[in-house]
Amino acid sequence: MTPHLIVPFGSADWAAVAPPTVVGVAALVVILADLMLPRRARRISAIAIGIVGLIVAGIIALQGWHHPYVAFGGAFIEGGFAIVFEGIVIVAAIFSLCMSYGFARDDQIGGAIALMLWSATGAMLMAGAASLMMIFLGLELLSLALYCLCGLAARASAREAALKYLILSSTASGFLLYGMALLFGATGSVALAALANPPISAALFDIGCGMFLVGLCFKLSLAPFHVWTPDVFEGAPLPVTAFMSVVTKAGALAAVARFAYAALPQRDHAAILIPLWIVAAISMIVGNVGALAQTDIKRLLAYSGIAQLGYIVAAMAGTSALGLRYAIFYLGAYMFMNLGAFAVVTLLSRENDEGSRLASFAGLGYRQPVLAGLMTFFLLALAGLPPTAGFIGKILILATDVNTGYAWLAVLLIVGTAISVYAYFKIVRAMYARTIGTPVLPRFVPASALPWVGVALCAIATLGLGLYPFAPSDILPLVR
Amino acid sequence: MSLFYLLAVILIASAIFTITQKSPVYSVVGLLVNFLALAALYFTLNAEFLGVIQIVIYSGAILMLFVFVIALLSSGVGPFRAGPNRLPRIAAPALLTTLVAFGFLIFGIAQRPFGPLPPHRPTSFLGNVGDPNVFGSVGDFGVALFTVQLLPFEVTAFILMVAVIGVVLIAGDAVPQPTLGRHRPQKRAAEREPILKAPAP
Amino acid sequence: MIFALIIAPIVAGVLLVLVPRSAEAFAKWFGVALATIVFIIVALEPHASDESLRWLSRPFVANFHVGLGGIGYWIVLLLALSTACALAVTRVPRQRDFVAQMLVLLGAMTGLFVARDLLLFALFWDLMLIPVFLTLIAWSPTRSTATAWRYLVYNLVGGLALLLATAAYGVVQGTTDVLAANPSMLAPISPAWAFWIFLGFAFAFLIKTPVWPLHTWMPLTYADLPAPMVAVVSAVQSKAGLYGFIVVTSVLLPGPMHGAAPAMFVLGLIALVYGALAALVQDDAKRVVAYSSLSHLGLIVLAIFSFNPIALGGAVVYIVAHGLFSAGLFIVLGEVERREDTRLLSRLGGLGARNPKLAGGLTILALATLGLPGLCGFAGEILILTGVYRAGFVWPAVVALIPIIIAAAYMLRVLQGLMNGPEVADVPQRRDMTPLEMLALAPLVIAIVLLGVNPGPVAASSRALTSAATALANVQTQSQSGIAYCKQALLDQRRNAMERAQRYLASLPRDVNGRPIVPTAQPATIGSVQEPSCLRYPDVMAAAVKATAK
Repeated sequence: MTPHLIVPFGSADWAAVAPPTVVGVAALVVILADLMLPRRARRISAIAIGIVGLIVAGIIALQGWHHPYVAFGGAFIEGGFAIVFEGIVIVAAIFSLCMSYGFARDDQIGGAIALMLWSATGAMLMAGAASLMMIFLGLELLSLALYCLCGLAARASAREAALKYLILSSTASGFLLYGMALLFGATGSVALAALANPPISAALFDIGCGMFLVGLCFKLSLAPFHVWTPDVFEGAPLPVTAFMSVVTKAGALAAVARFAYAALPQRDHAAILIPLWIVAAISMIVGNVGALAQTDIKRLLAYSGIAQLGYIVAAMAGTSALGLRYAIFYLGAYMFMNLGAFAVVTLLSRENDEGSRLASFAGLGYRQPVLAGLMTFFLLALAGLPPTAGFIGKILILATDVNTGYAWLAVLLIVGTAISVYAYFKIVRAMYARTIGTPVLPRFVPASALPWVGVALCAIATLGLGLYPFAPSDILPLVR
Repeated sequence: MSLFYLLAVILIASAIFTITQKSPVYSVVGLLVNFLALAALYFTLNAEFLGVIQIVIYSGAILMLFVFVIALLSSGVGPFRAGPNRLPRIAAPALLTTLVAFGFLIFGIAQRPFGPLPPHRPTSFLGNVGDPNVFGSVGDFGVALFTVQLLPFEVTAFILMVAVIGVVLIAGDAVPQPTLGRHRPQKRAAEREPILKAPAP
Repeated sequence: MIFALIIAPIVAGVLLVLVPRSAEAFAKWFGVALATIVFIIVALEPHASDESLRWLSRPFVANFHVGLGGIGYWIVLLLALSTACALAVTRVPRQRDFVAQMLVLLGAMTGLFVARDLLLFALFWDLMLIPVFLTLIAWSPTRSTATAWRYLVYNLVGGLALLLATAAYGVVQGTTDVLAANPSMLAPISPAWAFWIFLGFAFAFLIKTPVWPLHTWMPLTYADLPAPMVAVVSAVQSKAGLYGFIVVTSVLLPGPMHGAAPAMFVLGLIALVYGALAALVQDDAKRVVAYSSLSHLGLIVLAIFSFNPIALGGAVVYIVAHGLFSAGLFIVLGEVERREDTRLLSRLGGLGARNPKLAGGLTILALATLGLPGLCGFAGEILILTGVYRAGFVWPAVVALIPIIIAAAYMLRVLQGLMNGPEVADVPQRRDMTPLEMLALAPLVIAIVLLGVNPGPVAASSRALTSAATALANVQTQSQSGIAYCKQALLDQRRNAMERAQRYLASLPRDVNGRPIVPTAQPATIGSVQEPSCLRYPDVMAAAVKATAK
């Protein structure tokens, strides 16, 4: 029909998607290097290439900070909003790679690292996605790599986690896709910005919104769509759990934020999103109550993540500009404290034991005072106690909620925090209580010093963000 | 309209049939019906291209693949033996070929008559929903795939590659039996011993 | 300088982990030296000017603003003194780690009492719980962690209420840098908001004080903590709630503060009488002192809520006095327990014959507790009772007298049970106090006498708070920068209002000229959540409307 095909995109468009592309290509390089290099150099080379690729992607992304660009006819928007989320994904991926040294068998490590990078690519695509189609594709890339990663550990529970994640996540994707189809039907476009046009049918639009949000809430593991989270977190290998706990959520949060801030028509904005705030409120309570009974740190951090995501979504209640900033700030803070805790668990791992059981923390305060002190610090941060980024992040969210008239969310946040204290301090008690006698465990030597670097950086960042709560300011104009 | 409802019922019924069958071959047959009904649905919506694709690729190729996999799995074929590593010998020519191909690609892109699109189009590029002349026909589908939907198209290709590599990685080792239901951590002998002994006085 | 007073102990405490575990004596004397240095620095700098660093500028202004003036000055002195004395007699297992906890506690509580920003106050409020919790877990004599949980849950729930109230106050006022500000320069808060914010503050303060019925964590905690830490906790940490009532709520939220007075009087009187009666029947000497604290702190609650300048002065004197004698009492009881392996009154007796110095120390402290004229307890009590009576609360003053009489009974019972009477055969007799231990107790005893003889300077420190006029004078003399802060805070607040106004206008329907239609404020919505706070600044609104029309 068209006589000759003109591809209407230029180098600027490709430059806009350069950060995810670089990460994706780095993964290919990892696989190639894995084939070429001798067996003993594989681990360190895979991790090194991955980290270098991520850092390069980060540097490229930062170049675009002052030059927002709408690429591919509105499919992908590079700019402050996307860059912040890409940055969070990159940092989280770097920390996860730091923990990956002892992960998987020698012949699998290259593929595993590559899958992790591809998963990060998916999350970065979600960060900039401005059309429903890109959101879905980014999400699928993110999830598909994670299904495989979950199944990598050589134990039955990992396979179970992978299968569970695959089935439930596909169901959620079904919801998401169906919601997108309805939104497309109602507005005739897949571009998020076009959703602001008056829809053909308001009912179709509302139902589409609902299903779309349900799908994303599942990926954010907000209650009541959270049931898969603890099992999958427990079954998946430790670095994958750490990766998943931040990157999946960063990607999905970017989509939710863009949808809430840029796509919804201004008039029935508040009403459509009220269920989302209610879901956030339920998550705060359910996540923290669920964390109470856990004796496995990975499960506990899974429930903790449910609650923390509740806090983050609550920050956006009322969709104020400040709220978005503080949601992003808290996401960054959550990344550091959560990954710090995971890195400590990694340092406790031994052969055949991931060190995530509560018992492996018993008496840690006397065996490894520094490690125990750092773990205490991260737990304080997760519980929102000073002097950490968690404390100031909670204050900012409380203030935003009060300011936008959602004081009930602020009250529920406080209630949830009060409940969570028991869950977190249970670990502190295990580390310092004298009910446990003299430990007979040998002093273990971790396989690599990389997790120590991760722990130290996370601790510094958690403290630093608490004292100087830096949240990039010119994000909101770039959402659309 | 009544055709739509008929197809919808067939779709749902065949989907239920697929997941309730014990024998995988029956499930595949159910899936076949499902795919065909979906293709018919596409035709009623004037999306001939999608309909044809649905029949050719899904009902034809993919289902055939399913049948093959089922046949192989049930015949109990052992894992492939690892052959000699030929990579060092072919590395140099492979690299050369790749670089040349990549160079061509870059050259082609550099010659493009591309121009930047106006930054944003709030309405559908494809036209209005339900308009048979623009929506879903082969030509428009192709144009859309390589113009406005270029990025999604590329990402989709990427996803397929990731899926292949992921499956290779997972299938590359001896598969332990997955246990469904709630996870109980396997107790090893070393784990069963208490980590800490002898409460101090 | 003031920042260093906060940070140095915390950093030193954290870094003590790097010292070898066997260096117990070093850790202990390092801690004593650090606390002494803090004491000397504070004592030499009664007029240190405020220090401030920027913290938050949105959603409300908050600064790392610290200052040494007023009541906080005396409490920080008390804190440093009691920490130094308590550390000097410390002898516990894993001493290095214990000293580290004490130092972190010292830094956190110093921060609390020098904070001039509400958010900073809340930060240290939560921070000071952690070392006590860790100590309860790791040094609990019973190996049960129930006490630690109870301590943490009660106090943290209070802390979280404080946090929420602080955030709400910050949003409503536009800044939390208010504790050094002149109250008359703060924007008035609508009664509805003021009520809820006060509720949050009061809940936290009442738990911390504690008053009946929120007190159940307190006797357990005091009984289970090692003596050096309980000395500091009872001397200083339990004053945080009272300090909060005096410098936070009575200044920032005078309306609800007055409204709550009757209820607080009832709670204070109940704590007063209940604490005294409970102290009479305890067998554990530490619990006697714990319940006596409950009773004494109830008296201070009465003083604060009588809103009488004399009573308030008395409250401050009594806060310091109670800190001095309770720290001393817990140190002495710790000595007794270490010698005899028990602190049950029924099992002890006749120690005085072999340990005359210990008995002498306990006697002086007990006399100060029961309010002997010339010692510090009396000075505080007489000022409070006079003030409460002058304020017109005759009957509460009369009721408050009864527990003071009971105090004589239970303190003499402790003295009698421990020191006098026949020697108990099954209790090993150990040596008397060493010179070192006497040296550790001496500063407290000297301070008790000094304060008893001349409570003037301490009482005067509260005068600044009693009226807005003197508060203004206080700001001017104490720190030149105080007014600058107030101005800055108000400016920031206006800037926030401008932003809110623009956001609000953007949400309004437009008229034909494209100007937003601003609804006139309905009386029903004033002060409620629905009222956009920007409407309180008509000139800002007008400017915003003009800007929007363009």
